[in-house]
Amino acid sequence: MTMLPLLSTVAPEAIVEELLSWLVYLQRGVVLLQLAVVIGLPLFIRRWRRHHRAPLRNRPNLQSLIGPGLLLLISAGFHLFQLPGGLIRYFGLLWLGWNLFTPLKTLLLHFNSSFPVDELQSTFLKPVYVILATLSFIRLLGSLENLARIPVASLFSVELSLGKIYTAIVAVYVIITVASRPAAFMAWLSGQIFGVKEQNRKGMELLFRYSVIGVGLLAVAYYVGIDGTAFIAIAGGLSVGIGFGTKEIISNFISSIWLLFEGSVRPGEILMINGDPCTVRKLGLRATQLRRGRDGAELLIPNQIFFTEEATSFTAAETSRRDSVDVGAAYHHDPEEVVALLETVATENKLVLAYPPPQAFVIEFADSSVNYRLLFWVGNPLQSFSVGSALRQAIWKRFEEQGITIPFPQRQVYPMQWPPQDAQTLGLAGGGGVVAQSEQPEPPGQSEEANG
Amino acid sequence: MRAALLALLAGIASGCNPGLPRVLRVAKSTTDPGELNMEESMRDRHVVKEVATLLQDFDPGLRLHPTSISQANLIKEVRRQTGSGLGPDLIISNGTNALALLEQQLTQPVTLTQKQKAQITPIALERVTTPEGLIAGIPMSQYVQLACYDKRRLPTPPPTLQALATASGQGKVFGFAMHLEDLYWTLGGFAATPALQASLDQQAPNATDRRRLLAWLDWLRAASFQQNVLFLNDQMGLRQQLIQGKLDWITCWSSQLPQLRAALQEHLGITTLPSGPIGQATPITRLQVWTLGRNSSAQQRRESLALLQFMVEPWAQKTMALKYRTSFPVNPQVAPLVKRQLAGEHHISDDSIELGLTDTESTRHANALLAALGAQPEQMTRVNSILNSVVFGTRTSQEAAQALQTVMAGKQP
Repeated sequence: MTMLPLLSTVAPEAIVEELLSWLVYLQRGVVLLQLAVVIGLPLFIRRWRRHHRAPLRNRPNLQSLIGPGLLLLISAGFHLFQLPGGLIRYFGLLWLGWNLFTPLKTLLLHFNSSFPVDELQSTFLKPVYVILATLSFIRLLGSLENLARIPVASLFSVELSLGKIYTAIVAVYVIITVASRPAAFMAWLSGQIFGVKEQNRKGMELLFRYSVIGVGLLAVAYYVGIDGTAFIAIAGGLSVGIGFGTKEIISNFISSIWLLFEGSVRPGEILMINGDPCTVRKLGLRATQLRRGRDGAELLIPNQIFFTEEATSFTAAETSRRDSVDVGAAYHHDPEEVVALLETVATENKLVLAYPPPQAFVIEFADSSVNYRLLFWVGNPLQSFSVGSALRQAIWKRFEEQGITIPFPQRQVYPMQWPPQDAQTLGLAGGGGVVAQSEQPEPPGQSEEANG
Repeated sequence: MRAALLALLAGIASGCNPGLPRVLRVAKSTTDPGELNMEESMRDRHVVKEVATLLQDFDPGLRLHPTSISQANLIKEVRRQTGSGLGPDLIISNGTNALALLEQQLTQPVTLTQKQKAQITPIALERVTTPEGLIAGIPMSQYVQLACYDKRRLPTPPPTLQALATASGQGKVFGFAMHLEDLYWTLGGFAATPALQASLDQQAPNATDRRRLLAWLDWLRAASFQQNVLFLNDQMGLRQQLIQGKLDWITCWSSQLPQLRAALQEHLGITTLPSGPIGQATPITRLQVWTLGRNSSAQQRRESLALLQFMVEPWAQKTMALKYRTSFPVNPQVAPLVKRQLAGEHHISDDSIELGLTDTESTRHANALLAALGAQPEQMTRVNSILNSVVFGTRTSQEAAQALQTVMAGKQP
């Protein structure tokens, strides 16, 4: 609507014309000969390896250099015969450069085995290599200046050439990819100088990162030629866009910035989501990524949920969490003994905090048992589940040792006659372990069958 | 064997690709030294496209695909592309670069019949002929040096260097480019070219010639001390400052007129360069030379040669010259007609337009000097450096004259 007059595209015939002009090279014998070598040699090597044992099969780093080395040798042969072999040399060098990533990885891992070489290669080195290779190839074809200057679009009265668009895309990619490094350094520096805590550092890192990206994007926009007037136009367009379609996106983004400033949802925080403790992994522009402790599932929750709705945090002010274990004991055991025993069991567990001290309470006179609740604190909220399990095991064992029984309801089914001839009841006498408690049979007139 | 192999492959290529477009890739070097200027390259592109349109009447279906290369990178780029078999079919450059390209075996020499030679002024052809007699390329047109001014700020352009000094004293601002090629015209006003020619011929100049050379250097030095005479590094800077109103008068080349016309419109004044105390200005001309790339297939070469032949025909020469009004033809039949017409339009006499096509002493001196220095870029750099030192006052005229003679003689200063 309002964007249409601002963003008008220019027909890209010039690009097609430029690409078609490359076809004339195929009319040259020497170009065809070089292409035959460049395409044929890798195919030949692949075929040869299928039928023969590779001579350097145990040394992959050296093996990867054979193909490019052969291309470079052939190129030298062309030069010797005064034939143009630059295309072969170019592809040989390109291939060699690509294959050098393997030895580079080995080398980096040799010096530092924990170096994130795969991440570095896939997110930065290889994309940069591809970008440079594309540019150099177009330049070799003599079309770099032409393609770079072809106007393909007009944005806010700024004519965008293909070169500007390409540079802008590359710059934005590099800024987004590389921004995390200076941001991490600045966050680390703030930790070293100002003693910022680890968790706050992650939040600061994100803020720094967004700042670097923001400044970088502004610089790219100014490079492209979008000036202050254009930004006002963009803001005007966005205000309409926000009203209609991008409200949620902007809301989530603003929420993420706010949450970072507030520090309530930072990477490393532990939040209760639907009763499960989850660790905040990453605060993104749109959503927060959390890892659920129970099953390791990754949760993606829009930022505005945290901004507008209630959330339970176990790490906002302090990280300790109180949890409880419920257990029942038979009526004939002294509750004081049971309470003392439960508190002892909790105290003996190393993961249970000494302060606040664990406490046990009698909470209910139930049908079959006296129920107790053992309350305890753990330092890491994510450990409360496993600590609870460990305490239950310890309680079972200690009850077994002390002869304390954990009763449970037991139902006996009798044939349809009254009174039963061989009625049995189980005594409640000790002996430890779990003892079932009998129930009185229902009167015949109230049975389900009679009702049915 | 090599030629046979290439011929066989080219035959296969043309036989296998009957449907491929008939396109000649044309690399156009910028007329000014320095980096690529977007406007200029777009204009060059447009001109080559116009040539392609004209060509449709001559050879329907043949298209030209222009690419721009900066003059500074021309040889490097052409070498890289030619070394890969991807070199252009035709290269448009100036006479000096055409000779340099041939010397480095990046282009093919052109063979012309007597009839074809008759289409080109001998003196222009001489500028692109090597000492061995090889023709580096075909001169298509030539650009002349003129004076461009803003009529609003300078109603009457100075006809002499004396008038120029007076006008500058009255607050009018004049601009020159700090390059021998751009300043060469001032030598004529002091009759100082024989001194340089003598040095070039490994001879000592006589006392008169040496005195005239000193007079020229004195003038250069005195001009640079004037507040309203500016020496800039390149022509691009001069043009920009004239357009911005910072300068009132500049030296310009006819190839640059489209940009100035677009910016200043009817306020642009064009005239001949001012004469000196002894003689007329001796502006040199820049040739536009079309050379043949080395990588073309047999068919592409045939089509390139046919195109070159078409471009020097009187009709094409006249059409191109009068359509763009930036260059003068090299065809001796057409040149006087175009010269007369353009002189009439600019209200100047025919004789004041120096085309460098007549065999005069000053033309010969200019050609010899440009050929000698153009073949050795480092020598040209040294000469420019000497001129710089005069302008900035770090060398006296005596020292500069001595240094110039040494460099011209091919020795280290």
